[in-house]
Amino acid sequence: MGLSSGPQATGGSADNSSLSGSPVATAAVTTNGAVCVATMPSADVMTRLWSMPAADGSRLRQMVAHRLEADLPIPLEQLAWGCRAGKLPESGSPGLTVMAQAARNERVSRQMARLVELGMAVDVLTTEAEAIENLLRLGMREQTPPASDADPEAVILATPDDWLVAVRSGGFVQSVRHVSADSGRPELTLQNCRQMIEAVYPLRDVRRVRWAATPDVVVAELLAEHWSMPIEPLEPAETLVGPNGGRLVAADLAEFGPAIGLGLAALDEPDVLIRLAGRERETLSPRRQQIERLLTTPGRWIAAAGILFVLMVGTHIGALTWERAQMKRLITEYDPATSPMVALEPKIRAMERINTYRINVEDVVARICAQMPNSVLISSIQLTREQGLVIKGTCGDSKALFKWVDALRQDPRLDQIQPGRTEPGKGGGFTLTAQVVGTQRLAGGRQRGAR
Amino acid sequence: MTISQRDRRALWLGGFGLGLLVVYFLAVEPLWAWYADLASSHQSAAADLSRLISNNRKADYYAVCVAEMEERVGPLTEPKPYSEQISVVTERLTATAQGNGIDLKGATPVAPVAWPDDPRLQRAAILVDAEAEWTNALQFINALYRVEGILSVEQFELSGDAKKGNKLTLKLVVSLLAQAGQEGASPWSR
Repeated sequence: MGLSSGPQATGGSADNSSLSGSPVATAAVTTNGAVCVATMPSADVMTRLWSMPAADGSRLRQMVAHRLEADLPIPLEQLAWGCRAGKLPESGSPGLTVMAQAARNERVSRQMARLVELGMAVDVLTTEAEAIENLLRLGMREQTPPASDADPEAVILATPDDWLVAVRSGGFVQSVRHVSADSGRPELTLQNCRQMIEAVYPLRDVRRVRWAATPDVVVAELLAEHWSMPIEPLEPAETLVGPNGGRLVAADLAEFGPAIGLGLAALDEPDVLIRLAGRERETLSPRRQQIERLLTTPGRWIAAAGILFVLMVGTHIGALTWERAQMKRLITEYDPATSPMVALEPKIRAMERINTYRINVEDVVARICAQMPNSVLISSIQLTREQGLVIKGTCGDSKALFKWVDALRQDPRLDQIQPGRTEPGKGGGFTLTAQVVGTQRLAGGRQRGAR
Repeated sequence: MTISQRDRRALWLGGFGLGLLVVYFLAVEPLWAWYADLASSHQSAAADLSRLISNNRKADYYAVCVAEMEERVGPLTEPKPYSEQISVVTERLTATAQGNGIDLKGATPVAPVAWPDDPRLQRAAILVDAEAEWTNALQFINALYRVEGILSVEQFELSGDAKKGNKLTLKLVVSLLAQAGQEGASPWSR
């Protein structure tokens, strides 16, 4: 992680005119533009540090709100505030150390407006204390820690015009102040720094001072001469590199320390920072976040889809070609003479002719006789393909005759049954004509000689 | 010579359009035609193969049907030439009549006519005059239907006469199919 590939340190002081000589904006934007973090000027921020019983987030916020209401002279409605909790320095204690920071709403709005004017869409507006805390937590090379985490330490970032003095204890930067530097009277500058520190802790309680300065500022000798405590230079972590790829040096820390701290915070856990204002970030479900992450590289997906498409087309054409070759081989190798249908075809044709044209005489006669009454005497039966069925006979009982005719009409194989009575005075002759259903007529001419 | 921004954009667009046309006619269209040809020949081969497979399956099915039919009506054969067919059928008809107690008065072959379903065949007929008892007449027809070459009874006439007692007069026209050879091509040729 470095400045070139991670946070881009931007800003620094942009306008010193309106806020007591303190810088207006320190901001950092991550390279991919995902998060933009900026700070309020330290002079506009009120800080409180309390020990509180352990509680979950919303409960803790409620308690902090009550304490702020009691501690601060400004109504809570007029404040933008945030808090961050850490463990109590005493080991085994169930409580929390909570740092709350607040600023007037109007100041916060003004700061946001200025940042917008600078072209920044700020996601998190935090404090300089948080920037310095993250710089010390994430951007420093491993150094000798103080005897106890609760021991106060001072941090000085010195440039020819401005010295930033921070006091840190228990994992919180409790105070950040800017001191205007007077190059002609460095002792006076140091005196101002001392006052800033002693506004938080007596100087004798401060276990060490860590510093970084631009080359034209003499800090170490001055501190060693006037303050009797360990003096340690700040050394940036090896992983921090500048835009040109070179490692950051102490002078970079002195000049851009807060911005680097913000950048590191933006990359690490921007949601943990004390947040006074900023763009409302949409809370996405994990699945949606996964989809969003996938969609961040559309080029790769399009390329993958293209490759997949080409593979599918190739597979499809390969399969078609192979199948066609196999089918053609099978068709070529097939010998029609060996087909079982060749031997069967004459028999099949004969079978079909019989099924189509054969008249089942026995079945027709059986159907006629099955329901024939005893009073009927048949003299002749004639069945032809073209003219159908003609039955001649005698029947003295006309009622029985017509009953028989009705029964025959129920037979599905017989159709158009027409009874005719002849010679009623001579015993009752009759002629019955019918068509046999299913008899296939021949399309050709009549048989010569057929009767 | 300087080209204005607008002209440059127009040239770019024109070039792009021209490029698209070239790519279409030189790459897309031939490839698509090649693919369509491949798909078409694949479909054609699939249809041919499907027909072969279907024929084999049909053969299995018809083998069973033919066996059942032959069990019922006797051997199924291709029609023979007219002269051979008519003589064989007449002989077998006579034998069948004798075997079923039929008093055969006459069996007269009739000249063939064209068979409408198949120009390679012709339909001939034999006129049968006989006397038989009632039950024998139907048995005779059943037996006729097992004679190889007989297609159907085209005309069936059974009449009784009190003077003849139980004997009934049986007149049949039996049709048979024969190959349409030279001899049967035209009835006037004989």
